[in-house]
Amino acid sequence: MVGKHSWAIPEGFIPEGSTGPEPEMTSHGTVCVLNTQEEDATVEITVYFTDREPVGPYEETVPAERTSHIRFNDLEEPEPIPRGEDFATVIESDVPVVCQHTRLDSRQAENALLSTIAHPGDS
Amino acid sequence: MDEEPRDEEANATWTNWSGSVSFEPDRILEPENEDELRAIVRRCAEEGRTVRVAGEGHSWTPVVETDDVVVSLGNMTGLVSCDADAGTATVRGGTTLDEAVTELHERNLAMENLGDVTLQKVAGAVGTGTHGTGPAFENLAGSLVGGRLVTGTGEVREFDAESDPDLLDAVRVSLGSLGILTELRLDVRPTYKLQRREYCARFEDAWGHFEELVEENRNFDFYWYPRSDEVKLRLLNPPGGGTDASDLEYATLVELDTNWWHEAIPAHNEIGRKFEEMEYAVPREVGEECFLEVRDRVKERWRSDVGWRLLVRTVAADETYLSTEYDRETVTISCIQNAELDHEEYFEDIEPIFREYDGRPHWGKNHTLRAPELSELYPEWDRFQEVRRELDPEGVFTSEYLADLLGGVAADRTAPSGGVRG
Ligand SMILES: Cc1cc2nc3c(=O)[nH]c(=O)nc-3n(C[C@H](O)[C@H](O)[C@H](O)COP(=O)(O)OP(=O)(O)OC[C@H]3O[C@@H](n4cnc5c(N)ncnc54)[C@H](O)[C@@H]3O)c2cc1C
Repeated sequence: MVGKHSWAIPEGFIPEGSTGPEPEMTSHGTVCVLNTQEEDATVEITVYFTDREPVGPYEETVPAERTSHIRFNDLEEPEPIPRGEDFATVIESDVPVVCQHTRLDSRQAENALLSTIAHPGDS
Repeated sequence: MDEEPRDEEANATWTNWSGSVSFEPDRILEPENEDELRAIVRRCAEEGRTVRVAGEGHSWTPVVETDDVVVSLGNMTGLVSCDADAGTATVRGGTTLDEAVTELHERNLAMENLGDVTLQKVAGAVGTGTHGTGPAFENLAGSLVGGRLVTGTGEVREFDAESDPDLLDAVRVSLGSLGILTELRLDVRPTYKLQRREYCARFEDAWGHFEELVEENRNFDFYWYPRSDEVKLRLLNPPGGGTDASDLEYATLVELDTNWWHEAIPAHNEIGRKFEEMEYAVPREVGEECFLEVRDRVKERWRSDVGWRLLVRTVAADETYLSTEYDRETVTISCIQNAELDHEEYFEDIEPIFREYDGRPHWGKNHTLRAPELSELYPEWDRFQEVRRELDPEGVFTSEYLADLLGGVAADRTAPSGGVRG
């Protein structure tokens, strides 16, 4: 069984500006969730900020044996994650999954892509 | 005394769906029948009080607000009769759209179109010109063909298209300002199935196809997602109909479902989160141009904090005096923001763009227009006011908000608290 039930991504920032065609080149943060199980994963994302209470959970489904790249930019409910502000995320899933984090910063045309594996929880 | 209204609640708080309008009326009354309702209106007229009739409170504007008397028709619900041959059905004034569509469907009858949800009351939805999408369909007020109205003097006025076409054109969209509808006769048709197809696409790829999508599909609308600049295209058609899939290569199919009309058209009855909305109807010819300008502004100024979608729909022209579609086909554009976040600044920034395009604001959704501006937008404004003076000579239905919105004088609240009980 590959994966864990909880993950944390201390890094998080959606740059305000972008260069290049949308939506591919829109500056964004993404959590890539891999679900190798035979059941759908219900994933809850809680967002932490530097100066206010956490917001969430944002709920997403990752179908069985699929991967889902969830862009933080696209989350609407309970509220959009502001651009240009530091945040961090904790991801909890009802079935074990693997999470990786990616940020595209396309403010300048020489785009920068950053990607790291998220920090797994104990279970 | 059978005039005595039951179920009254003194100083209860009335709150709309999103929580943005909240007030304490002197009384919330729930009459059991038309006679009780007439007695309430008569008494209020005599005592110089204001009466506002509430639907489900799904309007974002304070159309129901008054510190006097709120009447709710929750005890006057259900189908009165239907006539499949004539293509009409009559529902009581407190019936929700949800109840109405279920009752109709059980009798193999249907409405031509619906909006995104069926949570409102039929009378509330009609009263503000609530609409769905599709260039062949008028807003829901267009399906009202007759009914019974308790006027400002407590009389009952029966009306229909044959006997009183002018009255019908005034009543259809009247925000409870001409009277309280106790029965609504609706245009109906045999029940039917629809296929819903939803596609995701890049805005740049989909733009340029919108006019053909509007023309080729029974009901077409789209959501634009400000942050990703992507769109969700929604197509509803008789199964197998509408734009050919091969013409939609620029888009990815994400939903395909065939269902009965009342399950297929409203898509958002299970709304988890509350939101605020502003919507304007602009002439169809300038709809795309207006939307482009709004999109530019949102991308430029609001992307950082506004994540909710913008919704674009089309509606057929009609002859209802205060309909946002009066005498013109429209494109409606709505801006949506989470209820718990600020929306004022965002809406205030976008509203002037809608105004430039001669937009008319949805009567139930956020906007800042008042009688001086609104009277310029509606050619039949004065005729509406004539009907209003005739049906409600004392202004018993004119709250302070309605006086600002439609003109007229709000009733002076002189009666001592509780006087309405008589
Ligand atoms: C989640 C949600 C989704 C929505 N979707 C759409 C949509 O798809 N399309 C759209 O156009 N709008 C939409 N709206 C707006 C909504 O349809 C309108 O605001 C509608 O008027 C609400 O109906 P209601 O029954 O809640 O009436 P209320 O908001 O309670 O009242 C509206 C008006 O109707 C009057 N009224 C109520 N009952 C009577 C009566 N018996 N006789 C005379 N007048 C009466 C009231 O006095 C008031 O002036 C939506 C709103 C929400 C909250």
